[in-house]
Amino acid sequence: MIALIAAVLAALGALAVLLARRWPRGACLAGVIALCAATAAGVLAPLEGPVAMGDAYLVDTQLIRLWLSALTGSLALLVLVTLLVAPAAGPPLLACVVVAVTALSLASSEPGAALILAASCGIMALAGAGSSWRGIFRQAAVVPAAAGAAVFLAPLTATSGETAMSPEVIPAILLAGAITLRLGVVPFHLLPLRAARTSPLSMLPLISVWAPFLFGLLAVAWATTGPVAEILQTSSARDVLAVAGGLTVVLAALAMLVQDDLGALMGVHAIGDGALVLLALASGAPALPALVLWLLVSGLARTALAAWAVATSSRMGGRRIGETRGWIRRAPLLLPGLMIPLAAGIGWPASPPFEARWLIVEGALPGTAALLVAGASTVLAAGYIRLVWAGVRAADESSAGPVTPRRGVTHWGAAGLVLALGALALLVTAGFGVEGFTSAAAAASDWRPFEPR
Amino acid sequence: MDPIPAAATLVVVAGAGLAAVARTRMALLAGVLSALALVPLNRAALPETTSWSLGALAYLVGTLLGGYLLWVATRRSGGHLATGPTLLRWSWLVLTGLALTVSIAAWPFVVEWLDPSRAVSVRMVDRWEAGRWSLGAGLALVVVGLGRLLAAPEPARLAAGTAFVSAGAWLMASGLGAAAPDVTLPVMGLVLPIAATTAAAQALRPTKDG
Repeated sequence: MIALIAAVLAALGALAVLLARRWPRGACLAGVIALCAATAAGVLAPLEGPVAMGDAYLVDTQLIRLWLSALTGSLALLVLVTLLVAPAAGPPLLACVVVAVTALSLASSEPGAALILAASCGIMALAGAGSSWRGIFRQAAVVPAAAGAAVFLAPLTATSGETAMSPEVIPAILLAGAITLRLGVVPFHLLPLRAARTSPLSMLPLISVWAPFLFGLLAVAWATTGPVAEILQTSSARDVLAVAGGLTVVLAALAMLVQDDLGALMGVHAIGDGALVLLALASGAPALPALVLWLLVSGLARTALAAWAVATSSRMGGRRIGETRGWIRRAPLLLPGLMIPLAAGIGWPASPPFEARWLIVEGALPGTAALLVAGASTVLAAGYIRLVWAGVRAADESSAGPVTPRRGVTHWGAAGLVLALGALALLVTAGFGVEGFTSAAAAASDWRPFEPR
Repeated sequence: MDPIPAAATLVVVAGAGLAAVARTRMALLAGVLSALALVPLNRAALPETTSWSLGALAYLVGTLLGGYLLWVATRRSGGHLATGPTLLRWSWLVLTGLALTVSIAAWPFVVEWLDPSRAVSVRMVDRWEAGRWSLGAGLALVVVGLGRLLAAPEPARLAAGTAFVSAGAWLMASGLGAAAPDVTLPVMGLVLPIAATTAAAQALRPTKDG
């Protein structure tokens, strides 16, 4: 029931934003209120039994509560930052719609409906993409079809013989292809990256992070517990998935060093983090709790970084790294705003996300390769060193000034919200609220989004 | 003999063909709506359960809403849409017809390949078997969606292509014997409005936004 309540609250918020779209501050405020209400519902309401919806159920689990609360809470703070520094109706509208679709797809007991909804959520998020949206739209457009076909075809092929050309592999290939396309795994990374480069920074967490991560989570949950689980656990399938995922992480770590745009930087980081979905697919069901935790921390950290980017680009008047020279001198409070989510995303030895990353990578790759990929995943954050270097340098003529002069309270308020978002990610990294995903009994706990068939 | 799936397939394929060769937004809209509106009827023995009826109704409402949003998405481009060479457009039409014919003929072999235990029963069924027509309609939608719509630059065609490919995949799976739960119908009905909203938002956005 809580998913339905959250979806209704978010839908009402979207409606209010639409009605107030000519007044950007009012639209942002309406979005924030709806998102805060959905967060409160997710955090405070007690767990309930499943609710029948036709021949399916809306289920309520700890995973759904955690994911929804993290999504709505972080988006509410992001929209607040947008309200303070660059109010617009787009971010709150899209955030509310994505929350509504996420709530329904996470809670649906029917994997076909859930995966199609989650994939459609990704298409909807592209409404916030920039001028080069067509390519990523085409790439995302085939994902609902591929995922739906995989789920519907899987039971039909479950009883056929085991030959090299067995039709059993078709659903597995369709689903792995859908995940690859949606998360922008190499070689399908170019179009998502191009979209991230031109997207408004406040939309990036929806386009590149929460929407693809949601699809990845649901797809892996079904793939590792449904009819195609055996196919994906054959050595050849595991090798292909592990190589694709590992290669993407390593290449993303290298690509982070040469990005010159804040949007591209965060787009590459999201692709590198999302590639762990393929590694979790190769690791199988035991890696699922770790994947949930990893995507959750990564989503929170990426949202905090997006809020930081919104605040910084607004303060400095540009989103290219060269245009942000001197940002630390001009806005010193934004330095911890950058460092805290980076630290939260990396984690530290024995912290839940650190262990989750290692568990996922170790389950898919052998010793040295696992070390290399886990190391590459950790040093993805090294791409932000150039940002810090640009910040400590003195501003020159290439550094743009602020778009509009703002009052000090706005700067302080935005910086405080960025810090709060980072602190939220850091809390989860420290293990608050995610005990069920890190304990030894995690695999037995009620975290699965789908009912076992 | 149940003529409804075959009749629905003909409407679906005619709509897909119209969408493939459409030069005006009115023709595109007519093609998209006729291709998608009858998709729920492409199945054997229509269920009389309340959940299916509500699902089909929600699907229809979603499709009509998507049609309106497609109309909004094409508002700026005027009545006429950019089209490719005439030969190419008609080639896609021929390809669509070919896909329909081949899939109807090859249906028993595909079912047998998927699951040999169903081979005997499917070879005995007649040409009016709903599965044949569902597979044909689905493949036709996928061919038009992938080749003619998603390859086009207009936002409205992209949105229509998204819905065509999803509905086509759903129809193909249904035709091959998949028992999709009723709840997937309203979800399928959401694909067109979601894609059309995205396309409309992009079409109406000032180009300087990037």
